[in-house]
Amino acid sequence: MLSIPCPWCGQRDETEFSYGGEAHIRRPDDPFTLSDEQWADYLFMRKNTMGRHREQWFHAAGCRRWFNVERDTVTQRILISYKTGEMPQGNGA
Amino acid sequence: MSNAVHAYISQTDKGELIIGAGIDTYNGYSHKGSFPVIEDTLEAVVELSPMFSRLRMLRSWAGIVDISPDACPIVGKTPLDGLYVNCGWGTGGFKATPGSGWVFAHTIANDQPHPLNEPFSLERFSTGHLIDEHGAAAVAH
Repeated sequence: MLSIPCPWCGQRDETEFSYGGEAHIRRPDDPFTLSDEQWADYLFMRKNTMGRHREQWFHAAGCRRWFNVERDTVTQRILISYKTGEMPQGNGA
Repeated sequence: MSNAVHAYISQTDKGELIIGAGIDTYNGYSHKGSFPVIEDTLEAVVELSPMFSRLRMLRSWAGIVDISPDACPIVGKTPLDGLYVNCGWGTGGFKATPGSGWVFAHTIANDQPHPLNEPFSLERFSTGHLIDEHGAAAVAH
């Protein structure tokens, strides 16, 4: 069971959360200027990191806010959590 | 197997029950499987067969499944000459192995896909021709 530190509510069980995939994927400013390949890259292509991974979580059964977590996908250890819009320094991909 | 509660059970020659399974909602390489998924699976099994609640759990394990964005396999050519992929089968694939092997061999031998696997190309994610078969197995995947 992951114990996920919500930046607003503190440490809670993973069953309170839903997963939102890789973090820090920015929607292109002007999608109409992109090729189909570039748009597909934005929509579908992910790093699938083995190791430290920055990802989005949603506190569905709590404050109902999105935030980011850095989790090691091999050890399942959660290293940091931080609010959307922040970008802590670190090794996370 | 039950589609209503999503559980699989089969008995080994020694008498043990093999029970499965679900997938974690988040990606990982820990080969453990999360406790909520194990709990959900056991709940389903006990709902289906209440007498199994008296069994002892011997061990649990998890594998890694490769799931594509539309949850359908990718079988075909790649942008590199001579490199072909047959992947992304997710939690399925065992039953499709003979058929996928057959069309994959055709793809390699002719350097072009068989009509059956043509829609399962890598390019479908950029052309937008995704395959809408996520519910085809009638169980939650």
